[in-house]
Amino acid sequence: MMISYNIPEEKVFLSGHNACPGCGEALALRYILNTLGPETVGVVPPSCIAIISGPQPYSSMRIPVYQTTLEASAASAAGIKRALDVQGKTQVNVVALAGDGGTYDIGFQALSAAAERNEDIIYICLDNEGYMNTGAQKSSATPWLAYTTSTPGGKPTGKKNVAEIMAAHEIPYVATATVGFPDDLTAKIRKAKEMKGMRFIVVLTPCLAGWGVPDSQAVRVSRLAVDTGIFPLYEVENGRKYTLNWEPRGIPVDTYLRTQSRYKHLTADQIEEIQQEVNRNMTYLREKQ
Amino acid sequence: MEVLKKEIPTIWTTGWTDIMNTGTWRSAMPIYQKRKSPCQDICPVNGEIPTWLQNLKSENLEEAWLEIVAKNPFPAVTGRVCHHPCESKCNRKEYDGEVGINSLEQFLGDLAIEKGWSLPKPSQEMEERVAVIGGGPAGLSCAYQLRKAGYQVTIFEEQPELGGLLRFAIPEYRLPKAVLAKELERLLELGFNVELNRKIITKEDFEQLRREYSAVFVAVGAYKAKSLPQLENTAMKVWFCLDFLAQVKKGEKPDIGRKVVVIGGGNAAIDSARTALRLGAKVKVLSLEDRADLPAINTEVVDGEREGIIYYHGAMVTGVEPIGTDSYMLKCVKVVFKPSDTDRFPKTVVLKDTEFELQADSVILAIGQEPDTTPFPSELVSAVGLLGSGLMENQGLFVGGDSSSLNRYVSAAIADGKNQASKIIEYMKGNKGASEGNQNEQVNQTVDSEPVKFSEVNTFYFPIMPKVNREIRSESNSLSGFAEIKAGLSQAEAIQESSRCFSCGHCISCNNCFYFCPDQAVVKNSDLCGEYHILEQYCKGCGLCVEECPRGAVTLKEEAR
Repeated sequence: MMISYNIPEEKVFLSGHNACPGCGEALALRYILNTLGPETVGVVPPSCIAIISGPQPYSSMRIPVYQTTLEASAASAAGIKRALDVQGKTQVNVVALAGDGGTYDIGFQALSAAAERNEDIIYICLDNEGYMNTGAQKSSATPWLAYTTSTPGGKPTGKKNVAEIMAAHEIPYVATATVGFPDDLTAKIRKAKEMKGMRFIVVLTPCLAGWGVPDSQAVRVSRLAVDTGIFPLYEVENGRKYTLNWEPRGIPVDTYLRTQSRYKHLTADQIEEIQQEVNRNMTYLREKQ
Repeated sequence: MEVLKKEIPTIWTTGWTDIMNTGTWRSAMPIYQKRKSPCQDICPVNGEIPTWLQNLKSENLEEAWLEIVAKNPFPAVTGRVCHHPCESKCNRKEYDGEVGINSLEQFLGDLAIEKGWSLPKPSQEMEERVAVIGGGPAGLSCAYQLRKAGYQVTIFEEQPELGGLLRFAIPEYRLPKAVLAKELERLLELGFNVELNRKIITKEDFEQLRREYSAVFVAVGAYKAKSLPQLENTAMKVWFCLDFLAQVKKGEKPDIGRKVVVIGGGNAAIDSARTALRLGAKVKVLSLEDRADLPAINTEVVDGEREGIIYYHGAMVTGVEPIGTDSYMLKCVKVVFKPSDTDRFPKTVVLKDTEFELQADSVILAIGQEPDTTPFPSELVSAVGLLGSGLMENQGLFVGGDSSSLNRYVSAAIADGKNQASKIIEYMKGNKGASEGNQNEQVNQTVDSEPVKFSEVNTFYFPIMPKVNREIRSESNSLSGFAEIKAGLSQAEAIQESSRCFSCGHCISCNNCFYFCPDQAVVKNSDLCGEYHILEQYCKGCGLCVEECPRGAVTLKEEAR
């Protein structure tokens, strides 16, 4: 049997946007917005998403979008949701669409606080593992040893595990997703849409320019991230119930790393170390199930 | 000082990005292209294999069968005896094993017999009459295509029954008579004049036919045995393979003794050897060719070995000596022999000090056959004793099948008949001065390009799934008679196996190109189910749709601006 997709979409995200050709993040936005539907309010901090949703005064998102500050996505979203509730518009989804810089780093305190209060919002982090919009500087989402313009010798520290941090807040729903698995991604959006309280989804979105990947490869690279176990697809409900959504096919990490020029300087020993780390992470994750 | 009045943009959205022309960024544009699959590319009859496999997968069974019989009226036969080069070129072979195309053809062929499906009737009736000389696979295939186009066809067959080698040579265990009979019966329902027991013996006979018919197709096969000088002047029983096979097919039991040596490396040799095994003999096969160069179908060679044939590849007989009254010793030697497509008599180099001996009660000779060219004009006979294709086409005289080719496979003969039928139709239309030309072949032509390569298949979408094989009856059973060896697939097995097809180069509307476009520039045509088109205004030319097409049906074309 063949793997194929049948994804219901309501066109909220529009053509003619300013994303680079083949952009993984634009693809993710298509799935997310077209699944959430028109009864949605978006909150976008400075990020590639802000570029894609513009340029002012045009919008690629046929919903109200509030461009907030880099620190405040979760707080803004929470405020809008509460205001809508007061107006009796309880059915409207409020979704924060932030990059990894606005989530892992600069917007983190507002995010953690909103999670602690269990605000009734969906927070989606489109993680392209760096400040790609400003010229590919490292963020705390950049993986160990990856080249960025601010880590020319490779990043000396590892990637922050934001899904686990958010799960530790024991919020109703935490999930990881990526564009190479659109059925899994949209199923998670649909599931989050039906739930109440704080919902957090981190979506791996390959950045072609920042990672050094050809225009046609975003989906392939994203799939390899999952099938190597580097970015496993899973969900956590109430901080307790873990579900692995896709069993990685056990492809060596080397296959994934070789698709990207940000890893081209790696030695065989370093690749082996990454492989060991991935194996350990997969073991921990399986034990949590 | 005058203050410049600057218009400040509104903080509110005043429009949507879908007015933007991001297509101007593009340097290449994806195009949908029906491309050749490697199976279709090598298929002698150019069968639309990916198309009928998809029909089979979706359980549109009769449609699948109709797709096959558009090019080949005998799927139940070829599903058993075709040398299926399609499978050896199948892109899935490199992944988890080729798709069992041959067994699926058999499944549909058998199902059609069971359900009583009919071949498509001629859509019009034409006046022209065509004579087809020879009722074997090539003649019947040509007659079928001509009849389908509405022409009046008379088939001349020297035997009391139609079928040629299918009836008189291919053993029952590979092709049961009942299967052939059913497919012939169905073919004849289209309406032919059939003259059985009618051999064209003299040149006058033949000229008479040419005068009576608008065109003549000669497919008399190759029945004249070649002999081996080393075996002349001996009292040893030497059988010509086609005589031997025909006798057994008639139900006779030729006295071949207990030890039989078959000489030859083609399908007739293996058929003879496996038939001899079933008559209770111990069988050895001696071939000039090396194992890798044997013209016989590989699975037949392997199955024969499993049944107990002992092979001597790269060897020849140099002489024969009697032992006692009924048995003989064949003197043999190892040789190096390279078959060649261009040279009919390639060199055989004898290897020194490699002599050996084989004991035999009789020998079956399967070293090739030639056509009997006596009744035909000498201009039609080529230097190598075959009827030459294309020599007298402008005079309405066409040839095909084994009598004009050394590519002696059933499906090659069927293909030849089909191709010659197109030429005959073209010839007759030309005679009439009609300008419509020959369109029946061109309609479904795929774009002329290289077949899709394995590297163009996105295997992520195809989880590993082993091939479903036809069950083979155990040796002890199979050797005790002539019952068919391979059991056909069940419907569930056939549908499962057909679902393994990559459908190389043939869009099956899987929607991947649609879903993976970040610019939503791929749209489904609502009126034409299963087709897509690209919105040039938005497509940025990233190539994601090309990369994520599982089957190489979308390609990127550079655009010059």
